[in-house]
Amino acid sequence: MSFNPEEELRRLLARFDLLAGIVRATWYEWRQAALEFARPGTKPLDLVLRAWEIVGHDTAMSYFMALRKNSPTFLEDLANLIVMSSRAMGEDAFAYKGENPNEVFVQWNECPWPEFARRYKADMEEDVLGCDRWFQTVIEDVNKHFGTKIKLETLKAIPRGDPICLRRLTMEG
Amino acid sequence: MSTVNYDELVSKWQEYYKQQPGSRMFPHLFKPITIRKVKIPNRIKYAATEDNFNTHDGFVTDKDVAYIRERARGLVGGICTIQGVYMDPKGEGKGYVGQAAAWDDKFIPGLKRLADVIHEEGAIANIQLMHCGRVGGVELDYCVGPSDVPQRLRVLKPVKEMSKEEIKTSIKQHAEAARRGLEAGYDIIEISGIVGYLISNFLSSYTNKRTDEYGGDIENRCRYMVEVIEAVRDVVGKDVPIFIRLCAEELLDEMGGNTPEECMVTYRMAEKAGVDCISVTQGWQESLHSVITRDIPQGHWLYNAKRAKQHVKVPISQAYRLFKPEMADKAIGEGIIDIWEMCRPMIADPELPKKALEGRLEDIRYCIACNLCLARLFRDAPITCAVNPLVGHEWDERWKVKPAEKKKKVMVVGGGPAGLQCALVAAQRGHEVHLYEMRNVLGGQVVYASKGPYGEDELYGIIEWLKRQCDKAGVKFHMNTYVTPELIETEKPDVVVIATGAKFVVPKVPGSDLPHVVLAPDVLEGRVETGDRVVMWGGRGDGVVAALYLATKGKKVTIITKDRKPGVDVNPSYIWRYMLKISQTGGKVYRFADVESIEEGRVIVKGAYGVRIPVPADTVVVSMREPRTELVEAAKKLCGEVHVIGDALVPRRLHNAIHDGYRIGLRI
Ligand SMILES: Cc1cc2nc3c(=O)[nH]c(=O)nc-3n(C[C@H](O)[C@H](O)[C@H](O)COP(=O)(O)O)c2cc1C
Ligand code: SF4
Repeated sequence: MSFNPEEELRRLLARFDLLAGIVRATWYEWRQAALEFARPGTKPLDLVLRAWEIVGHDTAMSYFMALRKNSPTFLEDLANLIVMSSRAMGEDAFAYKGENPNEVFVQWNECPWPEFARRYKADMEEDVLGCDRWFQTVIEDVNKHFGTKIKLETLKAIPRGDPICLRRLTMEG
Repeated sequence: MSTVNYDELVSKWQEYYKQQPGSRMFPHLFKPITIRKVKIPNRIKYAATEDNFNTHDGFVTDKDVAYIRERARGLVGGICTIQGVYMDPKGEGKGYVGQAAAWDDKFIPGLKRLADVIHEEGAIANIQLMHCGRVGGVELDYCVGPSDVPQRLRVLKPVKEMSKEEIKTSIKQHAEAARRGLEAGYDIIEISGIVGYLISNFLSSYTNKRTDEYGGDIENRCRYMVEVIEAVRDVVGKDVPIFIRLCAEELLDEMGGNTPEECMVTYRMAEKAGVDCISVTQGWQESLHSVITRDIPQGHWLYNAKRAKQHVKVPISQAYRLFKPEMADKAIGEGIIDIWEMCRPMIADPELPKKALEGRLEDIRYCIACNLCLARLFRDAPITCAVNPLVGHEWDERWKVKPAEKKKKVMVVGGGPAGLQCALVAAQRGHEVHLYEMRNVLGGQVVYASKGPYGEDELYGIIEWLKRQCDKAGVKFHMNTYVTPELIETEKPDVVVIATGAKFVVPKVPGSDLPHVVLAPDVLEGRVETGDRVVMWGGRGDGVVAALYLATKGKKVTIITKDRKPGVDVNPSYIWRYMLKISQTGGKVYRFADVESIEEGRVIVKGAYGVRIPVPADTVVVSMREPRTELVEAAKKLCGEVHVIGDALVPRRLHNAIHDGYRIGLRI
């Protein structure tokens, strides 16, 4: 049976895109519902940070299987996993080595999340701090699991009006 | 109350018209018309224009006053309408962040300032009352309407159904606002019932699902409008005209809107309720159909005015792509309309009626229907105009073209919109200006952009206007002349303005030097033919226009863009239509994507999520640009004052080029 491979891929991509959109929308819709049922005085930011923390533990667990403690490129491997997770969510990200030997950067050129935050009227800073909490949780768990001393800093953030998101990963020892 | 002596006003203007050639060229435009006690010297009306110039709590600003004064002056005695004002303290009827308010007497002094400047310029003052209904609640998290029918557009707020008490309150608020309008000195009260605002929400079967006396059949759906008109009439008395803007065709068939026949019932009901003039409009913000974009030929909607004439006896006015005085004069002469309305044409050129009257048609700077003004409005920004950089700066002396302190010899390199606009302002200020263009045609990117298939030739009008004005201002043109450092050395200008635009570049990837990789301008100007399957590499405005051009020739175009969607730099009122047309001919888009390599017959696209996709392609058209800056460094060495403007600075859109040119023209 003949088929057009481009069309098949396109269809898959289109459905994947749609699914990614639904995931993002669902995130904010759950946030809205949770806030409506939350204890009086609950701050949206606290709720959101807790949710990203839960996501972070889950993400870290999936990274444990892919990382090798004695790999000479441990930090880069970790950065590439972050890139992979980001790309899977429709973000345009890549990793590159910094000037110092134990330094790797992850740069995001495009990110669809702020657009959804705007649509659902969530604070942009929530988006920055939420992402940050996700990655910090991953790093904390990775450090505990592998006994490493890795640090992550957020240097630039699209939701803050920067043209890119930029995060720096450094490893001691 | 207005204190205008209408007899005096009309005779003063009529005397003046007699001395002007335009009164013979356009005999119908410059005929007076009397509506109730108001005598209007001519048949021209500036239509209501929300501008976001006022304070966020509804007070009129100097900026708005200066903007309106310019339009009133240009009307040479016509009707000057101020923006629709909202009338409720909560702001449910407020559709725009900088919309003027009329919900309290404290707003009267500001509204009076507008009426006063209109009168000082000899025009007739019209205040528009506008509850934005489904388009309202700009600063709330809801808006109100007759029923809570969900919105089609994400930007609009969820609708809350109005109770009967709220309906009665809003009718009263119209009457109160009308009283304030009278106290501020307006001659005419206008009610806005169009494009999705509250009155149109009650009229339309799409948005009115009520089962009480305000819903149901078309007569009941008219009840709110009728009660508003009657309440306003009670306040304004029998001498003051009430105008209304009403949809003759909603273009909401897909959503179950009114039929054109039902729309005519609303006209008859409005007339019966006592309005004195109906402004014929069409379309809704939620409609899927073009109404005021360039793909609609000018004068297209006059058929709705003709229909209206068969149903009502009151005078009829119309705007909507009726840009040319000759067209409007003919329509009045043929009895299709009584008053010519304009909104965007007078944003673009506030002096349009005056120039028509003086017979200076070649000086009219026509609106190019780009809808930048509207796009800004919907992004909560003050309006600007692509072709008229002075919009919003009328109050500011620093933006006016004034003689230069010292005459300089200015070399403008590049005859695109940035170079032309800069040359014009510099020459008007008294500088000796030489403009160099390496091709035999002026316009830069506009030359390509105007090859688009849906009325884009209208874009070239601004280039022709700039050329005519430059000629009048004494700019010397040097066509087919490539400026080299040697030429700068020989000419010894005091100032060099680099307006060399941008060049199309082919990024280096494997296969990018193959012969079937071509540039977008070569395709648009007919220098190369493409195969049937085309990959458009680059999805900004240039790529979209070229894709559209190829799509209308039956080519299957795949756009590859790094952005989150094609045409991020194209006006929202155009891009969705363009993309619809491209997809209807089998066109496709890969977003967040780039070309990884090119082979004979196909392109490997690196798509979103890092996926590679083989895309069949007979031709790859490159539409990416980068600034042409070869001359900058040399010019800086040879000349003390160098400016880089337009796409030569950063490739952007037409309005950026024109505005850059204007600002630098003022600074030289
Ligand atoms: C920037 C802008 C603001 C507008 N504001 C109003 C308004 O306040 N009230 C109204 O009834 N129509 C408003 N309109 C619609 C215009 O009055 C006019 O009907 C429409 O632009 C079509 O006419 P044109 O082709 O002459 O521009 C606005 C249009 C524009 C472009
Ligand atoms: S911004 Fe564009 S559409 Fe608006 S008045 Fe100016 S030229 Fe016309």
